Amino acid sequence: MTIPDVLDRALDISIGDRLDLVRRGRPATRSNVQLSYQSIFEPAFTGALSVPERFAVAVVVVRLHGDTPLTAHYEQQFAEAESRAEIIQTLHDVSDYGRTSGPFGQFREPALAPESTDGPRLEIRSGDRQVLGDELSALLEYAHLLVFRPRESAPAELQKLVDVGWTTGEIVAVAQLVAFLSFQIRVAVGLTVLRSTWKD
Amino acid sequence: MTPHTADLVTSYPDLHRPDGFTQNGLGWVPWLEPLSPAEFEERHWNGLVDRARAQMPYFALLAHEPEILAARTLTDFDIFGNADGGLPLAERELAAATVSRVNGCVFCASVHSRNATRLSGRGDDVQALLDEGVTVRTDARWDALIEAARALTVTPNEFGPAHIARLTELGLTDVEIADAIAGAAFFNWANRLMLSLGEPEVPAPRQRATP
Repeated sequence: MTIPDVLDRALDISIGDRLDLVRRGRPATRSNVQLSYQSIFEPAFTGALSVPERFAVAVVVVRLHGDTPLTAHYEQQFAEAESRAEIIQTLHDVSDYGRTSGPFGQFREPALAPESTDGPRLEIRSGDRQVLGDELSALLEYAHLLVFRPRESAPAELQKLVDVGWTTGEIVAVAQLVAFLSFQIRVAVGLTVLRSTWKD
Repeated sequence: MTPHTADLVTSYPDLHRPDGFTQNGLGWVPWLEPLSPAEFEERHWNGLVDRARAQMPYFALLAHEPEILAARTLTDFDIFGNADGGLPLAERELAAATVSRVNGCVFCASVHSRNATRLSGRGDDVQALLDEGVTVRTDARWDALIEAARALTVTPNEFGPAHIARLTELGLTDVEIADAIAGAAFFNWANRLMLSLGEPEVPAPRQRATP
């Protein structure tokens, strides 16, 4: 695959430059990371979660990470899928009041209890919930859990998704989406920092 | 162990849970129903990459979304298994164990601390990472890799030019540093799947085979 992929575009990598050569040193990783992106955001089987829902969750997840090299990409993709300004503004508001630091959380394991820490959990405000709906609101609260306190995952957290109608396949899809973004953002940040140290 | 199933979600009130981080082998039980063998179609088999994984509840659960499972698995295999130059595999496993330690994924930490020990022969240093956490002191190179993986894992991100400089001064090349970044980044993916869809258990003692 020689064409620029999502990471190349987000990081403004040109064919043949030093960071391009680093990425092409691992061709299977390079192509499968792109394939992972496509399987989530350009799904061949759209049964589980609509594409606009996927990008809505992605916009919030990237914004929860602060200013990332991928934020503009997901903002743009979501804007193409969802034109209602009210929805976009509400997702930005949720991201702003959801932003915290992590990972934090209670450990389930007794020996790790002294390391347990606390922090704010996201609860979508009622006005925002009316704009977004219960289904998307539940996904965003779950995404916030996965971003900031994954060790507090529990059957009761999945039950909240089931209670508003999400199926097993849809829950697997959103878990993959948030988990993949957690990876992709860190690759983008890591490579950007690496490049920033180069003198040439 | 008596699973309690209410609709789609299963909880395990009597599970034999691990007490903390360990290099011992652990099991993993799913909170959602894995795909049963009868439900597997061609795309699901393709998603597994390795068909034997249909027997493992983690992969059979992820097989509900087979296309992303396949791409995830092939990414995993290359980051942790491609020994064509770059960072030694033991140090990629060290990054995986470090990230799992930070995020609190006891299952992932058990697998990858064990791999790091097997590949490096440094079981005491790996155990110290599990026992003391990421502020542990081992040697200059491992300390720098552990700190880089930690900084890349926390949110807001703390990974900066000083982390790269430290690795560069230790003689790491671009490709080696990129491998360290990929290994740490990938476990921010894997931990979130393992933590969010099920939990670890201490397996029942097995009949030991005669050597």
